[in-house]
Amino acid sequence: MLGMDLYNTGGVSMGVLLQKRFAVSNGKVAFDFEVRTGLTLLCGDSGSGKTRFFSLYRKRCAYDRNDNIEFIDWQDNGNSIKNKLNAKGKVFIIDSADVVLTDNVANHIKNDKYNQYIILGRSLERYGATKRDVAIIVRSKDGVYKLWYYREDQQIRE
Amino acid sequence: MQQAYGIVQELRNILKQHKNGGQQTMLEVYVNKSNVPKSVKIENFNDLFFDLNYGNLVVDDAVKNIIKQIDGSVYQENGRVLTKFNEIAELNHLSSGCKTAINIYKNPNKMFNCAECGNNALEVIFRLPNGRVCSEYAPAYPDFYTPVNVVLCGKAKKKAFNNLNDVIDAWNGFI
Repeated sequence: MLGMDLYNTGGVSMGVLLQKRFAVSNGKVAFDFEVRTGLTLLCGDSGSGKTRFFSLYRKRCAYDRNDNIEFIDWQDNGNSIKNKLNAKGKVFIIDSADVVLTDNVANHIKNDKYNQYIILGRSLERYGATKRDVAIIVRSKDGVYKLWYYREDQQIRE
Repeated sequence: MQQAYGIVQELRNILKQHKNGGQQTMLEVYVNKSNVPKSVKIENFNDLFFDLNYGNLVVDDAVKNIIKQIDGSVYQENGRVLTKFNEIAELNHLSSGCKTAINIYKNPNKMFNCAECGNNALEVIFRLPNGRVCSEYAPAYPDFYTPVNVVLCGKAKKKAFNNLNDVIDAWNGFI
């Protein structure tokens, strides 16, 4: 875990970068990537592996008894989401965020300076994500699934 | 691209064969969820809807094509697929976008929210011959001139389109 320094300030997304590297494998599928900002919006095609990563990493954290990471998906109701988001210094990974989270909760995330978020969804504006927060999961040559910050990296190339 | 177009055409033909029955059908698309009539229930949780119903799913050629085109998985038998991760999985492990497309195809009278669908799923969904959806997004890089049967629905207007290019041009007027 990194320190609690604010990664983003000045009109960009608010999340805090607490953990950079996320790696998990079940022997057949492997995810190993680093996020760049405290709020990462994982979008991309259906079937690209977003939920696969979510469920595999959730099992990894349960096995490791890793309390620093909280998972939110359709199994959470409004109250349990609110309770979870009251925490500070956590990494939240949220699946199906565009339908699971209400506008109020999305607004809370937008202004949260204490936690890190990895959001599996599509709406940048809803969570205050900027171009540099948006990534998709891609398969590298060695078969490991990594992140491609296609919006920021394309901009740099241009 | 040509191969993808071929798959789309094949899918359309199969879907027409199974669903059309000679009558005019349309895919009804609400661009803004708030314009959906209050009397219509929107199915927001496509994963759950699918998981609670897939035991009765008849896996015809159209469903197999949807699975292949969106998830890159190959339907085996007995409700199992070979995924692109090279794993054998049950149908409830399909992606949310794939489940949404199957939900729409199999339940053309119900309204499904496409918020979780990636671009590849939207490509397939917008080419379904009938169904009801609300979708904030149109397919991003479609083959614009592939024929579609889409009716865009706004607050007080509806308009039918037969190619994606026109759908996307008119999109903002229905928000």
